[in-house]
Amino acid sequence: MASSSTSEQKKKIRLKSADNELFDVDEDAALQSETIKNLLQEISGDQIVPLPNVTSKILAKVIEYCSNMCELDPIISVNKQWESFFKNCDQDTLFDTILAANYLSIKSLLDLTCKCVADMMKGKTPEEIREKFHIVNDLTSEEEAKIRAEISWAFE
Amino acid sequence: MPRIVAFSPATALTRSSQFDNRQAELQSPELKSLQLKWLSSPRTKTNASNIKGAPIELDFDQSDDTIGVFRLIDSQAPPVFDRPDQRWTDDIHELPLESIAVYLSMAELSSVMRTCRRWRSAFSHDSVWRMVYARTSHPQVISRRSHARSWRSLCLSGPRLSIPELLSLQPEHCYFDMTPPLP
Repeated sequence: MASSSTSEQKKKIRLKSADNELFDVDEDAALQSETIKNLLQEISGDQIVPLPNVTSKILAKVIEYCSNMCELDPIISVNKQWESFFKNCDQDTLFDTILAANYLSIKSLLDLTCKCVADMMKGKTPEEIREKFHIVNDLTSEEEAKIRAEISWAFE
Repeated sequence: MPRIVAFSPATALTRSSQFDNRQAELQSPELKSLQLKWLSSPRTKTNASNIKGAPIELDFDQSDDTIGVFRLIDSQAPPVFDRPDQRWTDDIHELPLESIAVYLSMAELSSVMRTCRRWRSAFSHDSVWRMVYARTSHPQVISRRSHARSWRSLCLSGPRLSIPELLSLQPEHCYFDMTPPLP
């Protein structure tokens, strides 16, 4: 009985963040990352997978996202919950999550976070975008006009 | 007539420290840990008097150009940005911008490019424009010029491609004519 319950237990993969924190993750969730999948092929199964580009704070969120994606809930509703989270989180977390999703090659998370950034830019003037992202305008009015002229063909 | 007084570097440092009125308690621990500490050279003999009003005399090896040693007390801390969202300006090039641009219209992309020089340069990258061309009316044009059969059939399957299809395109598989169409 004990052996059968052990065999039913999901295989765990141990990940190490940039700040040396260890995370035990279900294999299903971890394998959503192409990077981790490739790393596991290179190292033996019991070894720790080092992720030097992802901090523990962001890795925890990424693992939570991947675990949610593996659950039986409809993916659309899970995605909506996460979209709402990323729209309301601070910009630093969003920035780091995009970098992490890109590094870990988690396509669905990358698309979701990038869509949130695009939504922050949508329908806004350059001035409004600057305000949103705290950007200082270093373009002259001539340069701005030049950029507009360069891609004017796209508006035809 | 003002009098010009020349000090040796070591004396100048000691004198300037007399006028240093910064309050240590106002500084954050992070800043303290990154401050450079001045250590006297092994060959420098310091006879600084604590008696109020007494001149501070420094006796140092004239032949030695080394007047001190800089030592970083703690390991280098990660950069701290003055503004919380400064990274969007400074590190925009690190982001996969084509994945963001794929959700924007041309008018919106134009607005984004007109925010600042860094963003203009970042969003002018080939990968962004490859995606823009493929998403708008250009796939038909591109497909005719392409030598890759898969790319040709992909483009001919419909005027608009899905996001996963666009992002999985291999740049070497297609030729892009970036010349604007003639009026």
